[in-house]
Amino acid sequence: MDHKNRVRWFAREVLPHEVDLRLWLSRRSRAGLPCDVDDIIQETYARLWTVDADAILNPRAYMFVTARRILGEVIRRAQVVQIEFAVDFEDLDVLEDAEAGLEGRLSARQEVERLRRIVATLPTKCRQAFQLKKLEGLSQRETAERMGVAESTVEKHLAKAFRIVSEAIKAAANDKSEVVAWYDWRQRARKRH
Amino acid sequence: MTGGNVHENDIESTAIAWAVRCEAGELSQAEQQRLDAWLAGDPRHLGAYVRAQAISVDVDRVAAMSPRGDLSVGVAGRRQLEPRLRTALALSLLVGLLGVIALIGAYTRFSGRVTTTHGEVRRIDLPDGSVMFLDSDSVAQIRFGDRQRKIIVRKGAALFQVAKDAAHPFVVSAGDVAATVLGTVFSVRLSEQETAVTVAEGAVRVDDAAHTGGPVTLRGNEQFVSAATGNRRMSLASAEVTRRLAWKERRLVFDGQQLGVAAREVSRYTRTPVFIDDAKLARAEFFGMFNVGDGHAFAVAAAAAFDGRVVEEPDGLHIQRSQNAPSH
Repeated sequence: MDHKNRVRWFAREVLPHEVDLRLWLSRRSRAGLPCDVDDIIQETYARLWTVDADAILNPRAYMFVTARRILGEVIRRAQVVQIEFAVDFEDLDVLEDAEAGLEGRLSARQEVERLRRIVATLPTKCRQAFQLKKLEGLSQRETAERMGVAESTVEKHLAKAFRIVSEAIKAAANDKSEVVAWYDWRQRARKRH
Repeated sequence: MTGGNVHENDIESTAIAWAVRCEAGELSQAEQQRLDAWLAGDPRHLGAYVRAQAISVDVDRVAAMSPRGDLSVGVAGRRQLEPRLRTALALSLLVGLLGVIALIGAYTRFSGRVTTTHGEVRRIDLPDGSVMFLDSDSVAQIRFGDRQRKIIVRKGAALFQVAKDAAHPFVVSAGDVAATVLGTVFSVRLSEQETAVTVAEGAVRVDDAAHTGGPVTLRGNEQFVSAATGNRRMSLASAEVTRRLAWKERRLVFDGQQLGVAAREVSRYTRTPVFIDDAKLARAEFFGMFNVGDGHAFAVAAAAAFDGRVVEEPDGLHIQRSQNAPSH
């Protein structure tokens, strides 16, 4: 796979599961995880990038397993591990989490609506650059001409817009955690029976 | 944890800046060196960079799904979406950027990705009793859920014998086209220019997201082709359908196709491709039946049929006209 197709593979097979992975990590982090969720997410992407995508049958499970391995390394490096967390870590059934029916997906209409809401929150200039470049499909130069600014300014606006999209993914993980707590409770209740 | 703070100089900001830079156009040599050095500095840099690019690609995908203008508010002098933004409307519309919780969602019961290499044709027995034959150099994804049995052909071609199960429609998607099976034998072929659905038996409903006009129901011996130049639907002689689907039996059949076309098809299945060096020879009609993967037999037969010769070169077998005509 060339670079472009691999990025597409990430957009299709990895990115949609990031919210759930963040959620999973943040639950560990509340249990005393000695590191940054963003660090682990970035490290996970880096490791996935080095493997042959065609060889991965279940990208979601692979992503979770990779993240768990990184988490294990971080914990060993940190040396000081709270006993409570160590037990929890042994107990993690990452595949069960990866396979759980949590991965409900948005419909096309919902996805468009979500992006529209994000676009609406962008600062004016930033929104204009984002709309012209990404939504109207103009080149960077055309965008700069239309806005009457330098191309480097357009780049700054675009970078800011992407950062806000990225932060929206992180925020979605936080929003979801309350619902998931309820879901976990139900799962546990079901197991007890 | 960084919390929700946006730092100007953190890894993520740098990664996004590079992703935007790369999308604007080719990097200068100096820029490329700086990027490479930064990426080599820490695995998190690479991860954040890949992630930023994936987000950008995903925004393109979502933008392509929106009705025109839906996402644009208050930009003067709006233009039509560029074609490249509009082509991406794949049928896998359900792949989301963010998950929402669907407690009664489509739980994946059976899923996986199947690939074949050059010269390999695989039979895959699916859990519902259906059979998929995956053509040489192809990729398909299997997603069987509670609501439907879904196959996504990512590359190449696949042929299906579908077990009847009215409660779980069997849907095959490739590029912009989705074929919903109503009980049947049919194939889907994806190439760079077009996607073709060929039905041997039974009936298949075809939806093409890239074109309007509603679904089309194909019956036996019919073909539907979705291409950038427009869609077409045609009836084929049953012998022609048998010929086109003969790769399933690991046979290739030619009955009057151009030799150049035949050579390309033979080369799909072998690591030693066959080339027709002479343009006139490449247009000649060719008849014959070969085992898949036997490029050598094809080359010998073709050379014999046209009084040519086979020359082995490092890149494959070349069929040339005999040098019996005096050249000077």
